Amino acid sequence: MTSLTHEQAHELIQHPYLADDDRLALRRHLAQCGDCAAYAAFHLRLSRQLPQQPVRLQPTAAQRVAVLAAARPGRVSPDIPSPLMSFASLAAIMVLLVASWALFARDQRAGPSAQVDLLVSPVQAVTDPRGRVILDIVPAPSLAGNLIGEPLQQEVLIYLPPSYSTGNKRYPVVYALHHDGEIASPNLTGWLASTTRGAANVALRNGLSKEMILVVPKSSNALGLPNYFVTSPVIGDWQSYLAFDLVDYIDANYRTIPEAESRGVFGESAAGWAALQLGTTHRDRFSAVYLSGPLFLAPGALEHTDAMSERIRPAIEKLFSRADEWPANEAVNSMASEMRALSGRLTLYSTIGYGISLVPDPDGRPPYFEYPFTGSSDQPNAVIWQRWESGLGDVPGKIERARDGLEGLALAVSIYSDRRDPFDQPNEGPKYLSEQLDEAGIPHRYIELPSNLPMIRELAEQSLPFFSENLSFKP
Amino acid sequence: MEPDQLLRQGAADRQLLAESLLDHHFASVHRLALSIVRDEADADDIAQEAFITALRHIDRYDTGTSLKAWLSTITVNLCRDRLRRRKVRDKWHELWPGGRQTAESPVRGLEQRQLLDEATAALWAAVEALDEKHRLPVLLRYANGYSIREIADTLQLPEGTVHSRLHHACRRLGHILGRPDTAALVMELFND
Repeated sequence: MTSLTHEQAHELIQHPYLADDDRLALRRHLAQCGDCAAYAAFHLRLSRQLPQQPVRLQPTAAQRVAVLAAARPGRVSPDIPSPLMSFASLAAIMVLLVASWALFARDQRAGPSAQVDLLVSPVQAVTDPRGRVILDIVPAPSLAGNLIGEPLQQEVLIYLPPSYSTGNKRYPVVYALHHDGEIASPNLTGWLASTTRGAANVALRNGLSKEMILVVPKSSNALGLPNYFVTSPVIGDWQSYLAFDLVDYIDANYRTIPEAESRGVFGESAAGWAALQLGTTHRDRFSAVYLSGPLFLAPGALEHTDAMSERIRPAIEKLFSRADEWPANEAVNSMASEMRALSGRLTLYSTIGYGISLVPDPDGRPPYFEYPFTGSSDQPNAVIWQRWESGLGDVPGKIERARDGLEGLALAVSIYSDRRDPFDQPNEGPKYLSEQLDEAGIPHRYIELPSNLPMIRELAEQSLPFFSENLSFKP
Repeated sequence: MEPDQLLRQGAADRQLLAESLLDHHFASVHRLALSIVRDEADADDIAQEAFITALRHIDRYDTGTSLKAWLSTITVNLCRDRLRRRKVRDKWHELWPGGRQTAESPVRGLEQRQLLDEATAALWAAVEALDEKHRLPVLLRYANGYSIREIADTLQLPEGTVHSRLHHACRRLGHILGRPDTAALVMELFND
């Protein structure tokens, strides 16, 4: 192996992935070259500490108006002042600029009512027939204290219907909790954005649904695992974030009808229980819940899931033994790297996600959840097994405890026949839930769907119409 | 639809193009501007100007090249102008102390949003102390996540020069902040 030049070392330091022999060559070089080692150290430090979350994700109404005005053919846009102006006239311009900036800034910083006024301006009366998907950042103080580095500013996709940008109308809101799909910020062509907007368009075009605002939180958590959206000391108090931080922010910044009769929750698969819990616990905030193929454990189902199978057990046991070696102040980073290395093993993601969300380690020890098998025996730990069962099992108990909240709640449950759930099992959960709801005398719509129906069609043909029928459109 | 697609189709609908550009690029353009000028109000102005400029000169954009890099070049140039004017304005304020409007914090508005711990604040201060030639590649790479290729396209430099600027920047940071503990960090880089 020839040794590296300094330039080659610099390139490798900047390279995101190193092949084995490159890695070895670089290691040798850094062991001998203090200058390059210092460079590598700063590279790491900058990579960790400099990355910035975007602070403003969408233009303000005033900015959008100004840009669209510039896009009109024949309009003259303001010229950028030349830096070659003489000092004296530049000074005069500065006074004027500062004064007009102060006025402009005041307008910009006023609340939503100022934005509404600007939208009525005749300059921008552009209706996008497809509606608009934008990305916003929502303060999430409820998530404080979580153990996995979940940020206290959460990305959220927001779909605004076609007539939103013209006029002052207010709209009902559906909060959609998905199991999967990327927000892929700030590129808005990710699955969640295109599915949400596509479904809304199809529904509108075919007269299946009226215009509503759709709010879609990120479906994966800070570790890249599916977000089960429940409250856990490890992942954070997601129920409070959703019910309070998110709802209050959306009401404050968008033209919503801020009433329970005009708010619904959609929950898919692993996020099904969270959606039901959210709707039933906060009846003063929500009045309709739609569960798409929700994940629930029927009695005896846990032992047949992939999560407890001989395929998955060794991988989890290995994770536990590696976790023992993580230095305390690096545990979350180590966990994040481990999760990235899992790529492609879907049931592992679901299993670990379930663990940290629903069976968290009570002392917060890495890898942050409890698992019934420890490698020393084939027999599961009975107490931990029971905790796994209660996570998304004990459906009759859940229904009983939610009885007050289920009263008068508009509820729909769909099932995809013959489709496997995130634990790779035949999907029995929704059917079991519906049977238990019937037992308890809770009315609900039960919808059977073919296994190959894409989400965009369920949303357009079932979910959005359900909300359109059950939410109030009167402010 | 993505702006690249619209442009390749030779879309005449400039409103649609404007909306698409804003939807896909506003956040990253604003973030880029903010990382350079470190002032929210200035970043807002620059982001708006960048899109207006891009739309006015859209015929100059070569659809075979990176749209992100083209928008970034426009943004970086606007930032440079703004920083130059700020130096002039600060100088003017020095000469006319009575004319000063308000005490302007260089990171106005940012404290609330980004609670920086001491170490990070020190790192940012050191980065800001770098001269523009070295500071820009660092900001593009680390604060905005640009690849070496994207930095090269944005600043219109060869990739080799980008590498050497980053390397020199880190050397300067070492002078300002002191040499890092390389042993521990190198172990981390290579510990499997």
